[in-house]
Amino acid sequence: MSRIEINGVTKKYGKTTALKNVNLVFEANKIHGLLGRNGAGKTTLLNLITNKIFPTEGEITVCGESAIENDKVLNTMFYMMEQNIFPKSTKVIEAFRWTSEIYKSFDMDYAKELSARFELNTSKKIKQLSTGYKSIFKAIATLASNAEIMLFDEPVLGLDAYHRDMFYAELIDNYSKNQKTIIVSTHLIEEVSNILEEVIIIKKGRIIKQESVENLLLSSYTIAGENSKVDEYLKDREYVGVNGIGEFKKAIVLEKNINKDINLANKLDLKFGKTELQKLFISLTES
Amino acid sequence: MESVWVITKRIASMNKFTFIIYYAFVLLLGAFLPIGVVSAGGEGTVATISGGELFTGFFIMAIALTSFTQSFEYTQFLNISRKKFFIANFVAVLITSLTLVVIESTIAYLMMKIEAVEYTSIFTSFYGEGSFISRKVWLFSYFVTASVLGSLIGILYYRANQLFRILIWCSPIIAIFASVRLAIYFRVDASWILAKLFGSYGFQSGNSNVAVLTGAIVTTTCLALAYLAIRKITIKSGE
Amino acid sequence: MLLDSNSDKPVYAQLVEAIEDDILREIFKEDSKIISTTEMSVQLRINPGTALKAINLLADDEIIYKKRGVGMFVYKGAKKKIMNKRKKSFREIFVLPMMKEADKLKISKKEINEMMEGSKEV
Repeated sequence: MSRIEINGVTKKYGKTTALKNVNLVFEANKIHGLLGRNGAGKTTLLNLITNKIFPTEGEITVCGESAIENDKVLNTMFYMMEQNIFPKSTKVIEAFRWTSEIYKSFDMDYAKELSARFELNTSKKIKQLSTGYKSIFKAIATLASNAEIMLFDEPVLGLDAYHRDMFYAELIDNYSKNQKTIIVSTHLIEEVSNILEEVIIIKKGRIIKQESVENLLLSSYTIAGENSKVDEYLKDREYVGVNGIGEFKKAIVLEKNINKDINLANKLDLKFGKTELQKLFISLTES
Repeated sequence: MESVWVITKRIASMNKFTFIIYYAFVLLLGAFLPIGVVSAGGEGTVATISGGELFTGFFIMAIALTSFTQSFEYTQFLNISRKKFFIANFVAVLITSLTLVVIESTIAYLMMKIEAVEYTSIFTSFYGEGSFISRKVWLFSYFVTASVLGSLIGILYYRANQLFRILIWCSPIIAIFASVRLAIYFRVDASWILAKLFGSYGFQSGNSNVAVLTGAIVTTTCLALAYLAIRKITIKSGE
Repeated sequence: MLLDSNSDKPVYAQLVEAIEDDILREIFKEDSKIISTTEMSVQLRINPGTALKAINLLADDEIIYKKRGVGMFVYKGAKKKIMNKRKKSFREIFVLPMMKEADKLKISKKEINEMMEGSKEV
């Protein structure tokens, strides 16, 4: 069981508050997206879940147990960190071996297969790898660990488009084959929006949205057309993210898709559209 | 616990290469020194070597100090608790110290076989002759104490920010300076202190077991402090 | 099978249509196996839950059926069923918008007829 519960968690560094009273549940067996701007608190949250750091207030449980200094719980999670902390003069294949000693479910053949696909030379020392390949090494270690809970902090940092796409494919393939809980923290929202089942948006240390992707996309839509006509439609409606060129503009209307006023739109010669997760995200996290 | 043993082995093996180089150097020295001496002074000249083990102790302390980061970060990568790391680290110290006692003894034995070298072990210089067991126990205790001390300094250094790191570098000098000043201020009899210090290492009584006891006390203290320092330790940012 | 990132429709709806299209084109023949949800999700880079949702909708509509441990198969008569379903919505999806656009451009019904006569089967 891999349900993660975060209760009243606050994390302060001296006078700075990185996370303020976070209450969150990551349900098991879903792919969760942790979205937020730089410095919003995503990495802090992941670090707290995996006991890399300690909360100032509150507690975090994994399947009802605290992960703090708890090897049993810690061993159910594999965390792909942004930092590169594995002893650098170790060869990749050795690093995989060391990982398999601690993670009993580690699949060495799968790790080798993935390394071949990503063209990662496993006899290279970690310090000899480029930034992108360091990420690939960590990503493969995470995927091959077969841990019940996988946490990815900016997994595709430094990867070219080809490898990014490959990563997503491998992630989905891995996820399909076994029950697991995945949390992905990222900036590249449009790329992952189809992969995520649920989205958690963090802004300045607070959770501002937790919603399934489906609901999020169904609970808003775009309206576009001539400026004054759009304004008329938007009267008495909640909206964000207004964008325009010259006489025309587009806005994201924050109401359920099914409540669209099709007649009004037809009368005003406006066009409806689907919300893009990234645009919605940008609007919600604007200062 | 099986995984503690696994981690122990990994931590112990991290410094394998450094020790190999160290001992290769030692053996090279040991091999060429007598040759050099004999060729310089003719037949019958003897080279006197002593103090090797003492130096190895300092070397171990330095290794324990510098290898803390790697061992700690390896366990953090693999989501191992700090408690387990602490235990595995200490067991690794014990194993390494034991191995080194064996290696040092072997080297001492070989040295004594070579005619051109007169080898005196540190133990003999401090305490005269002693039983085989008390010699090995003393050496083991010395290595363990040195490692644990080095490890503690390593932990404190890792946790410290810039300011404290500078302080740690300066601490030996500060300590000496401060104690001299304090001794003068309190009109403490320096010879009394030195006598007590040497006494705790058994130099006065010629009893090596006193040193072993002191070593055990120092080790325990260091371990306690190390555990306190490790309990909430976090990875330093930056690579 | 491709997804249109510009489409208004949610991903699962696009997937339903794509599979129905493949059945109409007989890429998936009746009583034969279609690709697994895993393959679908990996190929299209979508969440397997989304693929599952599409599959369940198709199963509810009796277009496909699941054989435990083997996979998913196309029902006999599925092609016809899809064609009937599509015929019903053809007017709303294709004809009405065409009429609206023709109206905007002042194209007469006669001209439309001529266009249709002159168009070959694509």
